[in-house]
Amino acid sequence: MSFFNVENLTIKFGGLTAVDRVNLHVDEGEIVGLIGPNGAGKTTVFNLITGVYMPDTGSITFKGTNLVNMKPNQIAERGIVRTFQNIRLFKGLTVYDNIRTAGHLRIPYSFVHSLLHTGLYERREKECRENADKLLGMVGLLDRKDEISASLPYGMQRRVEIARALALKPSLLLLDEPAAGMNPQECVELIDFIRKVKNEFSTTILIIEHHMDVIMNICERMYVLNFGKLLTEGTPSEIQNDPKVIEAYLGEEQEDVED
Amino acid sequence: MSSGFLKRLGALVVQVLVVWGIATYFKQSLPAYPIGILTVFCINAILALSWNLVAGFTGQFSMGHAGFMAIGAYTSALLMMKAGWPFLPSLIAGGTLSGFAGFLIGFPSLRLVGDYLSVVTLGFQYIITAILNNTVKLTGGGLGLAGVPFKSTLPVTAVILVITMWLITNLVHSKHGRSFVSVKEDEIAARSVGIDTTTYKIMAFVISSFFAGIGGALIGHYMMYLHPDIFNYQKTVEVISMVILGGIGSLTGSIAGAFGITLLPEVFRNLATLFGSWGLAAAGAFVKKGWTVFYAIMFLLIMLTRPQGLIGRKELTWESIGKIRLFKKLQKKEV
Repeated sequence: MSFFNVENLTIKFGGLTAVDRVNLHVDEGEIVGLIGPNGAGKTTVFNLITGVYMPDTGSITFKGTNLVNMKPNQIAERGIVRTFQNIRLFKGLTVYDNIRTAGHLRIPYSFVHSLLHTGLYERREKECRENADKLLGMVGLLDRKDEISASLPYGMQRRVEIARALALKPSLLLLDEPAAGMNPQECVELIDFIRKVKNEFSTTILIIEHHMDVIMNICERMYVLNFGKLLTEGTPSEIQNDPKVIEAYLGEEQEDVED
Repeated sequence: MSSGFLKRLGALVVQVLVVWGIATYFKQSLPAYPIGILTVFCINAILALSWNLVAGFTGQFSMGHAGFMAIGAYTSALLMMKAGWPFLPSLIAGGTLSGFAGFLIGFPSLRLVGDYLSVVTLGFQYIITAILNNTVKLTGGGLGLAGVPFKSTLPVTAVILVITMWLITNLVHSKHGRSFVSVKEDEIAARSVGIDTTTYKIMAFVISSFFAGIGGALIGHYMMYLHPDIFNYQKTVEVISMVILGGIGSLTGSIAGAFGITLLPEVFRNLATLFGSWGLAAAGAFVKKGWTVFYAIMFLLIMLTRPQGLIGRKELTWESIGKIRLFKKLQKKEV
């Protein structure tokens, strides 16, 4: 039984086949990259995996269960948690509350306990607060936990979003362009950070990224998408030297001359 | 059982007793007029808290709260009058039936957002009014329902307000409360962290309509008379304006807003009488006839200068009162 397996995944928007018969698999403990030029369908793949879109055909299996037809929250409950390309925090809430909101699944207590603030409520909330503190300490935002999340700088918002995803203790973390808008120095920090996340949470990571230095550095294996189709698969060095990939990113040599 | 829970429960009991004591004292020593205002304020505050939960915290803009109030009011009144139930079970039955209606109306809210949901809930309120108008045998229809037992004394309503506030505050400060807010903040993000937004929306509607039903029942037991027109959309708008005035998403704001909206018409009414007694008959008549204009202008000014409401999204605590600039200055002077 494989850890995470996508087979023959296809979705059409009108006449456009955004994702076309994509196959990919991720083994437990791996960091796998998903790259491709703009519009290749990377984020659509994420949306399909997390249940935002329903695939037309194909299957997505995670630890042996089929995720197709599940709601996004059910998929998150099963341990697949994502971040968003254009950061989706609970903007009006503090950093701390963002994390605690996400932790709600891992702190079981029922409605009656919420209404009466019982002893069970108290213990579980304490766990939740401690966990949030731990996560914020890890992403280095403990001193800014009471700030409204929308008021933080971009890079920090990214880290809040990752911490929020980690609050669910995911077994598969999907990162959608975590380095977007970051400078080279921040990218280096991000690489360390993602490695740290992987080790401390023993989570598996599937990552979409445009920054080649980031993805080449941390990924053990990667997939290249182009026009919704899987172009190739391989280790970073294989991908870097693959003429098909170079063509997808830079175009054919002839066209360049004509331009 | 932990000591923390018992402590909080003890604090609630103390609060209830203190409020009961003060309210009973007021009831015996004050004239009927201010007692009436205070009672209406307590009922309004319950209604404002109820609407705030579903709209302010969960972001589902219900325009049909008067419908929930009507269900609670008629259920409680009829149970007492026709079935001979005692007050408390009737009241809770009113709230429960209203909560059930909230459960039903919660379903369209799963597919509809924003304006569409508002229109559906508004339609629900009109359906309730139409049903009440046409079930003459049971509810008296357009003739109204007279002889509802008077039960909403100041101590009763004040204590129910304290308990409502306690429950809703508890709820807001829990994982369920945070999930409500996450639905309002960003539904897609909420689902991505495993929050079942569907369940939480329905839950918010059920709880909110339960308390709206309680508030509606108290209206009936205060006025001793019910008529479908009491629960028209203007009643909803009144409750909404309390919440917006106080600050959407703030519980203490709802209470402050309820106080303001209850008091203001009375202030203008007294102002009119006062002008009259000073011999400024024209001014008195002007205020009496045109107070709604002032009311509207005041509202506009508040919305222009403080669109987040008087208190905003924060909560009014003793600590925060101490932080207000005016009081800080006073404290410094004392030093």
